[in-house]
Amino acid sequence: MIKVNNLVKNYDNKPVLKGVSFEVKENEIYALLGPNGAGKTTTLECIEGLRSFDQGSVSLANKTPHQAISAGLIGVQLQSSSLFRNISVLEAMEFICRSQNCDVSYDLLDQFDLMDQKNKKYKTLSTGQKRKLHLALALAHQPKILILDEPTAGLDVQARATLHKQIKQLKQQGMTMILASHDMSEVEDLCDRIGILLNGNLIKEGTPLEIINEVKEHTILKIKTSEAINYKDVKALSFLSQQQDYDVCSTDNLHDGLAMLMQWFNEKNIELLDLIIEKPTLEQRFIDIANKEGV
Amino acid sequence: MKAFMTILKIKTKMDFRSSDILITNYLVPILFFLVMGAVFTSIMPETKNTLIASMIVFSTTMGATIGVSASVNELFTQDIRKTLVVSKVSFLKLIFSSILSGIFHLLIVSTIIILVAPILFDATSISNVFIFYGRIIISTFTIVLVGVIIGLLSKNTAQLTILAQLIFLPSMMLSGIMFDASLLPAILKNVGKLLPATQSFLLLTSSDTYIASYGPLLIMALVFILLIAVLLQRLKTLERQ
Repeated sequence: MIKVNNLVKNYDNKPVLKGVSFEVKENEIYALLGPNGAGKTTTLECIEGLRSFDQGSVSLANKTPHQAISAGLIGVQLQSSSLFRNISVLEAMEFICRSQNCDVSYDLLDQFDLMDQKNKKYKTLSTGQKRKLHLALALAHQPKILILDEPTAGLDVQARATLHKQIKQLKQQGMTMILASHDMSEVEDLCDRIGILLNGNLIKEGTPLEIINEVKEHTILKIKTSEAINYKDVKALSFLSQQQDYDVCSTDNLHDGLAMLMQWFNEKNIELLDLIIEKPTLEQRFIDIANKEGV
Repeated sequence: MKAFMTILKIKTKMDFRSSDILITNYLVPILFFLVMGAVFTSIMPETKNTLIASMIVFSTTMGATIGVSASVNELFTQDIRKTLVVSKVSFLKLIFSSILSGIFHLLIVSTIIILVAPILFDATSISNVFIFYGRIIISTFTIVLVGVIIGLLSKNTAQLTILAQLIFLPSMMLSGIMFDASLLPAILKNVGKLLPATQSFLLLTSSDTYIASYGPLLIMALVFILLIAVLLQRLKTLERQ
């Protein structure tokens, strides 16, 4: 649905994107993950047609970004979306719908809990209400592709959860989405696939689980037993440290490590008092990757 | 057309709600008219003949250079501009609706002046309403175009204020609305002729009915329209760098 091929963008001869390539399939939620300045917004703006690029190509359903905007294929919520201070919520919907040459979508205002605020001026809306309004405006012309830049930045927990629910509903309705974020839990919760962007390079791509599981030794086991254990005898585990009453070990294969541990406990008649398994999070994994890349 | 009518309706409503427009298009011009009308007509009784024209030129120049320019500038701030581009909003329709809304608001003030000046200050009433309104519309249109140019040229509020004052203050001093322009040194008199306010004042006080008397303002309007087209194109190009 979205094809980005070898995208290169320089600002004043300073490379910002250094040959970024990825593909977003139909009905997929794809996230561009990266720290500030990694090139996420620039990549999205190239896809949205807001920015020219020096090399490479971008296609949305086999159309250029400008053709895609003209055909009403894409809906966009920018990181810095803004509107006129004195426009009301209802007028904003009318204004955008008429410009997009579609019927005014009062249902969307209802869907995003904005009907009660319909006469409120844009300048008086909260950050959450503005985000919801811009999302509703982006969906007004029923696009096939939705582009979201930091969709929940500045939102409180409740507003964030509501917006996540709405994004998931849109996926159920068949929408293809690409979003940029540096919120790992958001990306883990919402996205089918992730691309990690560092210093203008897409250095890793995959599902959140694939990326988390790529380095397996990060699965941590905290084991509390009835008597001391010599972990040299359990080959699938590496002893790391002792924390209070727990032995902290890591394993590169959770299934084999656990099976071996249980068998060994049975043979030695050792009682397992407690076991805590800590899977690595996307955040830990991201920090590892960033450190490895020297970011 | 439907899109344009919606944009025009919303833009006019937004301008009614704007405190900037309320101050620069209504409150200050009307206050200035009430104070200066009393002063002018008492110390220089002959100004009664030109009071309506001079106060209309003052109001429209202030409303356009300070009010309309700020309103246009807000429409095209970077974040809003990006939102407009991705939402397929036509810049041209937005500018056109700003011009019409600006003219509409300034015509309201002009009408107040036309109605009140003869009653309060014994100002000479206008003889031909249709011709006079036609002239007001041409004058206001040209001056509003200047406001649009200032709004499109300015990158921030500081620039906007400086540019607006650069046009507004000479317009007040050199156009002949405050004092007789013939008293000015030749060079300033000639500079003054380049200002839409001067040409507007000449047109509104002229008894000429020749079409040629509209020439200077129409030529200025044409130049300003071309400049606006260039500035709009520049905005679109800037966006994509």
